[in-house]
Amino acid sequence: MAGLVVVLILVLLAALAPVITAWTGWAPETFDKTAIDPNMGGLPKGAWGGIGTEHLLGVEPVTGRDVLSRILYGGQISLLIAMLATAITVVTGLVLGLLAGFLGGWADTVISRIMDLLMSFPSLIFMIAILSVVRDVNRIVLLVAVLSVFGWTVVARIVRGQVLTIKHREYVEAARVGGGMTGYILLKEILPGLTAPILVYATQAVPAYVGAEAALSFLGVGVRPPTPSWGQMINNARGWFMTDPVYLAVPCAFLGLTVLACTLLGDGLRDAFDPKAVRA
Amino acid sequence: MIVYALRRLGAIALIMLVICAITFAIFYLLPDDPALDACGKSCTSARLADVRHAMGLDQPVLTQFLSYLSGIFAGRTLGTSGLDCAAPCFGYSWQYASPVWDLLLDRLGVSASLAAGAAVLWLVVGVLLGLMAALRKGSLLDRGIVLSALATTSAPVYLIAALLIYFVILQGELLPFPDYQPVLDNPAAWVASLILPWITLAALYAAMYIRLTRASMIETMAEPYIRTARAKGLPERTVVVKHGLRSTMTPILTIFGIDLGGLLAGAMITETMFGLPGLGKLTFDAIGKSDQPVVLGVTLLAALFITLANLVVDLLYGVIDPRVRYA
Repeated sequence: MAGLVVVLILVLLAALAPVITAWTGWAPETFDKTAIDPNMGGLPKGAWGGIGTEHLLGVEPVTGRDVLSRILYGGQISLLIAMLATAITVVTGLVLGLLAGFLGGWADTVISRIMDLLMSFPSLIFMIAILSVVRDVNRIVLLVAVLSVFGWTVVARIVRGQVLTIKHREYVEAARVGGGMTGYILLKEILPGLTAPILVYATQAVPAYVGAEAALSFLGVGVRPPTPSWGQMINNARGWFMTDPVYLAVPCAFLGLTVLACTLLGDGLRDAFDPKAVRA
Repeated sequence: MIVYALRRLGAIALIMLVICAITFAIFYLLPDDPALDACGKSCTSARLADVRHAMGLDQPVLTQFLSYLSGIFAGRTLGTSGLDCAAPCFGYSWQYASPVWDLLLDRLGVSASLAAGAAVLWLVVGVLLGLMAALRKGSLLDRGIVLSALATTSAPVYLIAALLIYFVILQGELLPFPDYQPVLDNPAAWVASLILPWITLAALYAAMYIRLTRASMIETMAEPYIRTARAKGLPERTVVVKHGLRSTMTPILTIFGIDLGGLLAGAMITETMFGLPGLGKLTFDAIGKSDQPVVLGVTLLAALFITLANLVVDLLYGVIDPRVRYA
């Protein structure tokens, strides 16, 4: 429950970024030279990374850009990428997993071999390689595409396994004997049985993708400046954390909070769906 | 089992070939021209053609690919440059002016040291804490362990690494900044340079092992055969270790194999944060310099680790769980 509330708050904060920044008066790209100390190599003025009434989460060293504003807009990008990638992997994995499990035969062979291949790929290295050589493509689209290509296999594997166990249950046999068409049986008899594992997977996939996006941006192949993203902020902060640790801690805290809240939400969902589970 | 292993090895060879072809195609069809980088700033089109010819890049892609493949087994001479690349030849890094294989071997020690130490740490800590939590289910200890596991899975690796560097190295001055030494040269310095990266990486993975061990141990200890073992009058230790833990090890082993196989890429951020000269750092630098032969080599090596780890896990199933038979 707490997980759901925090997730909703985070999504709301990101969605309301323009409203909140209009209220604080600091856009993500506005430089504030008054908030930094040129005599200290551009460190924010004041303790705790310049946190104060003017800049609620402090400012970026050298430029004086508002950290809160960049976190909110960065959250938009991070959450957008994670949710799009989750949606695409779930739909692709669902369709291909259903086909492989239900049709069997050569469809199963082809899809399973592709899954084996993708799962043997060192996906992070490969993603970095692709992202580093492809230059003139929208980074967000590219990130979603790359994450999805390697992500759907997990869903497809879960779905395929479930379909294989469900498809010989009596109620499915009954529907087939009763003259149900393949499409009808898939949609009405098999799909409902897959809701729980897929929903649980999705709540775990979102934080995984937020983390992956952060990792790729941290390694310098993700979202390009000036577009803010959490991973990129962490990468910038890496060079400053000895003198301005708050600048590193803030995006890390948001990243950690997102992962924590989604994990709690996923655990809660799994318990709710699993009649065997005892609440811990 | 031998037939099974051989068939799986055949499948691995096929997968490696396909991965090699895909990676090769992507690198060599994309606009980035390695000859242009090698040629330098004052490059004329005539010189560029010479460089391309010397590097063998003017050959058709298929010819280049086949000569790359044969180079792995037989070695080759690169283009017309006269550079010899002994087997196994995974191409030549023009940036480092060295065969890729030598670079990989050079860095492998660091990555292997990092992976091995971290894996031992997280496996021992994860299974032990998970076991303790499961046996005292519902107690304060259990809650504490579950909560800290949740906290460490959520903490980004950057934060853990930064906190360790900040408090242990900068503020506490307990350790020098990591300066990697091979284990045989100076074991103490080896440990000193790797202990923080080990902790960072282990913190990242241990939490999942705690959760997994705890969950499946709680499930196992409720099984009727555990009650039977207790009823026979076996000491609790034997019941827990020989009867309980043994069946819990199968899912843990699966995850462990997959994690270990994927650690090459997984350790990339840790290596970057601590400045360790491992394979992850090599890849990161190579990508920055668009040194494609190195990236291709690392991709193949990483894929080989992943597939081999999966095979080893599948074979070990039979050792841990005698019910498993290989068809």
